[in-house]
Amino acid sequence: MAVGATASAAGEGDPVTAPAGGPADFGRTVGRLMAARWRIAWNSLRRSARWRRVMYAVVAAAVVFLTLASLAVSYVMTRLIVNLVGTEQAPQADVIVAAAFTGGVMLSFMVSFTVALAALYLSRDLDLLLTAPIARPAVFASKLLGGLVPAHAVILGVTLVPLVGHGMAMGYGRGYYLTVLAALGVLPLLPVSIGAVAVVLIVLRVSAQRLGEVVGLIVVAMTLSLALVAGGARQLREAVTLSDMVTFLERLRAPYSPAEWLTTAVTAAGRGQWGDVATWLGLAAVVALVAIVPLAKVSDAVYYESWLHMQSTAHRDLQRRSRLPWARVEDAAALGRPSGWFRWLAPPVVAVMRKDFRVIPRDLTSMAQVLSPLAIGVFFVLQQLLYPVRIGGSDVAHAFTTPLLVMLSGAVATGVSAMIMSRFGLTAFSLEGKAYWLVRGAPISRRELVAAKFLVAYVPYVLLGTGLIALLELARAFADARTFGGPIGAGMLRAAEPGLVAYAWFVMAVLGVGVVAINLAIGAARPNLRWDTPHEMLTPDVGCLSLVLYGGYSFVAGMTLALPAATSRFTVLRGATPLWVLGLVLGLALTALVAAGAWWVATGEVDAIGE
Amino acid sequence: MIQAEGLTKRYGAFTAVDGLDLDVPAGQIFGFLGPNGAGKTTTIRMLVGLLRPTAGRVRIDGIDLAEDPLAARARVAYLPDTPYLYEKLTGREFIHFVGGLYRVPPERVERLIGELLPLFGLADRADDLIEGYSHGMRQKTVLAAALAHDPKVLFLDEPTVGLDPRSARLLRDILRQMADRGATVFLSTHILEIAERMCDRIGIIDHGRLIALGTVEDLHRQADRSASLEDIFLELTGGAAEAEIAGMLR
Repeated sequence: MAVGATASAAGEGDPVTAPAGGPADFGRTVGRLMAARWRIAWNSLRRSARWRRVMYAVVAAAVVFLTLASLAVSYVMTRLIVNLVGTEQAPQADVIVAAAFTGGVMLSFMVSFTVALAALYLSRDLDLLLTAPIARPAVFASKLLGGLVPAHAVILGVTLVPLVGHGMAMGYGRGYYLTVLAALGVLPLLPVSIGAVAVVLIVLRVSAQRLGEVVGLIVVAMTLSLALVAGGARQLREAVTLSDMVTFLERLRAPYSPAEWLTTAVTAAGRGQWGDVATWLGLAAVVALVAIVPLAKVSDAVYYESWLHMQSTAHRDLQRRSRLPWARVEDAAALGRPSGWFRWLAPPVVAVMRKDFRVIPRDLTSMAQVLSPLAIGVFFVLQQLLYPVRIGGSDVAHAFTTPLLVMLSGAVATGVSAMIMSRFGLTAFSLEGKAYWLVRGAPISRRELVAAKFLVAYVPYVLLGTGLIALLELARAFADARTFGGPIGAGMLRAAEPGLVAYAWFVMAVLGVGVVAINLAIGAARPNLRWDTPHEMLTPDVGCLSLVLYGGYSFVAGMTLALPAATSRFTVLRGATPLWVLGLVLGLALTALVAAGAWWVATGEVDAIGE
Repeated sequence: MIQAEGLTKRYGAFTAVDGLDLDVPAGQIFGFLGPNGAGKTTTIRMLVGLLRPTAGRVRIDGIDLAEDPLAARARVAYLPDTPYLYEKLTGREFIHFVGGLYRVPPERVERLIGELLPLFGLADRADDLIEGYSHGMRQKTVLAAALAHDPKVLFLDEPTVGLDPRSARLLRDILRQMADRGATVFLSTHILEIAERMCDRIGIIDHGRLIALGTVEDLHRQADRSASLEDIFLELTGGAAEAEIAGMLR
């Protein structure tokens, strides 16, 4: 039977026809698809839980605070730079504007590529849309706009605030602000066009899922680079003056960059040079509009072709990736057999633990998210090797402050391990995803399940923390041996503090109990089992709540446990040992209280998960 | 073996299952029929302990599910309509994982894997990640895992969806063997032919209420003797009008 007949029988009138085509139809279709997208987003917000709306309000308040702070910083920096260069007319006075536009363009490039990839190829309704009688360029445009508009609203907001601060500091008039708005309208066009066209062309050759994984790793590499660059910040801060910074920012300005064209246009508007405004803003607009031509070209046939390519390669890639040539029968059997370190645990606990230990590392997306905090740990170890922290110049002063340095190593190891393992604690139940019915329907008690999930996060926490403390202490002893001269080996032995290191390890292990327990409780109370990619397991509000709670606990308990030990050799502090004991008792009591409370919450919430 | 008394599930003002009473003895295959949204899956999820009932109680092999859930769950296996599994485990690992959850010795699980996977045509894919499996392969993997602990009660929600004819036949044979050995099989299905051919007793649920219960012969007796199970089902669940519309469209 014909489709048209069905439609008629259902009272829909004429049979379904092909799209009329033309700009009006294109605009209507894009409008409808965008409206549907916004309706979904609005409904999700409107029907979200009250606590989640409260978190949104907290985030909005934080954004307002950061906006005001950014405004103040850009205002003050502009005034300082003007005072430094002596005139408002010098090009150096515009470095804040140049930095804002350069940052905005760079962010726009980065976001455009990743967001275009996700919106154009990885969203779940593409099968429906691309097989429906809708013009493909309309699907392309609505997907691209739907993904990029929210991201660019943030980018343009971040770029706008320092420009406003600069304008206020320079006392510019209305023309400046209007030109700023026009420049911000032009800013995303070029990055979006290049990013989207690049994605479409790459997906013609490479699977979109694989490209997504590679981009994820590139983001991690960039985070690592930023961490290492920031690592030099301590040294930079000592060496760099405002004048050096202005010179450095001046050097980043490139005459062929669209960011520089927008900078010239905006600053010219501030100074009332309208000819320059028209020239440079016009140039940026023309280049941006020219870049839209290839975007329009690829939006129809090439986009569809790349989507078809993705469809055919996705299944093949999945089949290839699902092969594990190294899989052994006895390894699989270990899932059901308590053995080795785990032989004293109940079989269901071991099954859950070993399952998680296999599932997590096999997912690249999941692993990419722990690499960034790990990069910070690597940075601190390198930092300790290259620029060792020393307090006090003489041998005597150094001897007094060594416990402080050892405890600092412990604090770094605890911080890095906590950052990584808090995520595993938070997502311990979400990790089960839609397969949670298996565990929930199995004869495993609430306590066994919570214990298994606790150990899944706590065991790697202790292993990672132990490794980091060992590396940081080796680096410290090496730096001490090098400073005081003589054979390195003997010097390192002399600098070693095994008792203090053991105590730092103990503090790290104790804090881990609290940190993992807090995150496990939050994860049990706010699980997200409906995810498709691992990064969806964790929502920002849950992440914020976790950071506040475990950060607060770690600070209080860490100071209580570690501060008396860190200052134990300061002669001015009499009664160090009683203080140490008191700190130990209080810290352990606080941890026991937090862990017991978290255990109570987690075991209480487990029954409600998945209902 | 399966007893439900006044089983009720409410979501706010909506009642998904309304005071359901049921008693399925050991060694029986019980077919649970009903139109979409009638409350079949909700009932099964309450019977296996995945959903807490708003009211009522469930006993499995005489054990109250609310009072001793672990003992009750240890006697049960469940095959859901959509088999969501751990994508990053291999089929073999998955079956051993389920074996671990039910405290089954790995040697027994491995023996079962050796027997069942070749029958299901999964032997050469046992060490591949589940993410590469089709829907039918996932169904068969869950079924193999469900049999690992030799359950006394097996709940299956639309078990034949996604299975090829050979596997569907194999499933029917396995279920019959299990029932003959004294296990209870509780299955929901839309395929009335399967219910008619396989089930010892049938229950029909509509709008959360059990509206018919008995053997196929009982149901025939209650309705016109010549009516098929499909006709009885449509008459009881108010689907006769829709059938007429469908006939007009043909």
